[in-house]
Order: sequence, then C-alpha cells, then structure tokens
Amino acid sequence: MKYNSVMAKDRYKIFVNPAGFIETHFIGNQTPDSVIGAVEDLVKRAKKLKAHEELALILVDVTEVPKIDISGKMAKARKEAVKAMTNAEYDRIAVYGNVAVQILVNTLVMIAGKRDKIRVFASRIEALKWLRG
Amino acid sequence: MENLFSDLPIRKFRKGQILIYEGDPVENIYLLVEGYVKVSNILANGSQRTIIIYKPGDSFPLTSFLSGEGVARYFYECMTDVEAKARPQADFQAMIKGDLAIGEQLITYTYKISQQFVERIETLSAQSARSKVISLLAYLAKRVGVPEGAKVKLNVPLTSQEIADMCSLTRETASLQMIKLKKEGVVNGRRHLYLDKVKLKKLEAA
Repeated sequence: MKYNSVMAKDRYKIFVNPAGFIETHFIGNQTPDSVIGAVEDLVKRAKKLKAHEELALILVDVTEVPKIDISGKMAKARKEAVKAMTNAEYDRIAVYGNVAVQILVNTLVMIAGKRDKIRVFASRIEALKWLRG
Repeated sequence: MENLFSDLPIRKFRKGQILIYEGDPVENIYLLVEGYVKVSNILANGSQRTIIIYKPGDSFPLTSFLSGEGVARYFYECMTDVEAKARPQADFQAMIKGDLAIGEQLITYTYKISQQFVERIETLSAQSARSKVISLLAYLAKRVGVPEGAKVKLNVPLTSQEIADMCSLTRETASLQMIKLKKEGVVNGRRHLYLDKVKLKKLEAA
C-alpha cells in the first residue's frame, strides 16, 4: 500500500501558482491510485482555502498524460472524481488537455451537473482566461 | 445508448440531406435507426473529404458535444434515406446528470468513435493512392461490411465520387486504383461492393 501511494504521487504534482490558484499537473499514464490521490489532495487544499474565505480556483494540466485509460480499471477513479466534483468546496476548476481528455472530463462534469463551475479546454491560455474570470 | 432515445419518435430524412452543418451549434444528439450518414469536411482546395460513416445504432455528434466545443466540427450528410431519433442536447445533458452508468457507456462509445476519426485522418494524410484505397476498403469492411462466405458485402451503396472523397483522391485516381484491385480479384460488384477477405487482409498487411 505504501509502495502504491509513493508510485501514485510520482504521477502528479500539486502546488500553489504564484498567481494564487491551485495548480495540478498529471504526468505520465495514470493509475486509479494516482487519480484518487490527486483528487483527495485537491479537495483538502480547496477546503482549506474556503475555510479562510478565499477563492478556491484550480487549474489542471492533463497534457502530459500520453494515453487516457477509459477501461473498467479506472472506473473507481472516475466515480471518486464525480463525487468530488459534486460535493467538494471550490469556486472554479479549469482543465486542459487533448480531445480524449476533453471528452472524458466533460462527461464526468455533466454527470456531476457542474458545467457552470468546471470547464475543459484545449490550451492553457484558454483555461487561464476562464479561470481568472 | 438506445435507452436514451426510447421515448422519441422516428424522423425521416432524404438521401443527400445534411443533418448538421460544420460550425453549427450542437442542438440535437441523433440516434441512427436506419440508413447511413457520412461525416465530412471541406478542404482548403474546395474538395470534400469523408472521414467516417455512421451506421444504424450509432449516435452523433457526441465527440463535438462531449468535448465541450459546442459546435459541430464536420458536415453530417445522409448517404441513403435515413430514419433517426433526435434529442435536444439540453435534454440529453439532463438525462446524463447523476447517472454514472450511462456516463461510462458514453465515455467508452465516444472514445472509440474519436479513435476512428484519428485513425482515418492519419490514413488520409500520409499514404500512397493505393494504400489509401486499401485502407478505406478495410475500414468499410469492418464498419459496414456483412460477411457472405469468403467475401464481405458493403451494405452502403458507394459512387466513384464517394470512394474518392473517402480517400482524399481525385475521382480519376481513385477509379484507377479500384480498377486495379478489381483485376486482382480483391473487389467486385458495382454500387454494392464485395471484398475478398483473404486478399484484402494480405494487402493490408503488406
């Protein structure tokens, strides 16, 4: 279990961008552990910001993921992502990546019914423009 | 997928009718019940390029809808008389909300279709005329082919111009390649083509 979580953490990084929003980069092909780990981490950070009455804006870069895994193996990760999109405290999330990422994330966003708060883009520029409002 | 359309009436469209224009906002999601629909765009030189064909049971334009673009990236034209059901995209969205099982089906289906787009576009952009025609025939055999003994019958009637548009070739070049393949016994028939499975597979692997 410890081994899994260490490996999972190598597949994403989360940091606070100097502009004040939370930024996440997914790197390489993902596993259920890496996606769930990143989602949990983001939920915690967003909750902390909201507790201080600050805006919780999140930018997610998925451009460095070579292959999007849509198999049943990742179903649990997709379920957790929808749950977080529905229940977590945040203001806006902008995701950017290729068409496969856009289809996957947009479908999850529709299931969560959060199209007003989460948008998916092809480029970082578009994502940032929308995130900053 | 068909459950999402079960309460809707069937609408009829004529051969040649364009259901969706490139650049149009995605207003409806269609389920094809009968007939074939081709997806194409117009190239800078004015020629038409057909990318994929939808068959009964398929739904479109899901890639444009789910990618969040909001506008159709291609023309969707009836290749035959068509029967289809259409659901307004807002209703479609409302039906997906909260339903992870439907979402999973949509992700799998749309991902497969988008892979077909990518493969076809790659095939169209980087091969000789002969390879383009062979790749197209292999694609059609898989997509709209019905096995008949050692052959596969293509269920959709195709004109020379349609074959050319699906290969991004001029009609003359595509016809020349088809004549050669007919002489080699890979293809026969006129509008409904029959393909020799073994010979086609060998050519595809070569």
